[in-house]
Amino acid sequence: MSTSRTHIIKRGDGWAVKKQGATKASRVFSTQDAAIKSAKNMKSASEIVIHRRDGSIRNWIKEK
Amino acid sequence: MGNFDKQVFLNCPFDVEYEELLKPLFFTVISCGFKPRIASERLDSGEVRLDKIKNLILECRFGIHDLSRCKSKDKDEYSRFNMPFELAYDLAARDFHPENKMKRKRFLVLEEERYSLQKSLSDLSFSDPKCHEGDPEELVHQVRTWFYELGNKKLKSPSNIWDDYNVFYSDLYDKKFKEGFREKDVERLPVPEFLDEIELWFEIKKGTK
Repeated sequence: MSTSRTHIIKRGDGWAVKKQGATKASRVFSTQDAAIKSAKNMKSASEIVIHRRDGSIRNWIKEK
Repeated sequence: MGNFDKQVFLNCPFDVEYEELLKPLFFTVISCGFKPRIASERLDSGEVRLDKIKNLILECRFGIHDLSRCKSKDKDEYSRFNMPFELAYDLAARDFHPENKMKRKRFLVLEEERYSLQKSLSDLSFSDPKCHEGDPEELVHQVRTWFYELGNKKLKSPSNIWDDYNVFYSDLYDKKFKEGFREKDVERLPVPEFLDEIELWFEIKKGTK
């Protein structure tokens, strides 16, 4: 289980940016695009896993 | 056969459309410390389906019955009666089976649209059905809340379970890709294999594997 991943996860009507292993999301955005943009700007996000609304994987960005 | 008090009979559709709800449902049941049981857990074409259902009902104290996909959507499409039929079977086991443990059975009835069951199955108005609105995250919330109300107080929050499910899914991709699976293979994992992977994930997390 990698802890270097940052996940973009559906949260209610919005999308949360959450580092793997963290207890809370860093931020919640109203659109998935905004959440992805924010994750890409995080220095610690070496891998970004973008989920679909059902939790499955839409995209996986391995390198920044 | 397993522990009667820890097993949950899942009565829900098995079509591709329902998978987005079925998979997090499996995960939530296991996360709450229970074992999901479902007719498709064994892929044995020689087994009569109704016999399989009957055995599951007798082996499970708990039943989650999702009646959300019973309604026909298109003209000339038939309604689906399997789910209400199996719920009635489960209720009958509680009320008429001679074994005392059957009296301890508990049920969660789910619907997609609020009050839809009042219109289609008013006999069930006693059952306080919960509505998931076709939303996997809301389904996790409803199922976890039900387990809590049954007396299981040490459960993770619904949001944590939902987030764990998302993390599990990425770990599953990672693991399966390393084993030579492709994306379409992971998305089409048979139910027994998907359940095995969830259980293994929790064992690794707890450090028992």
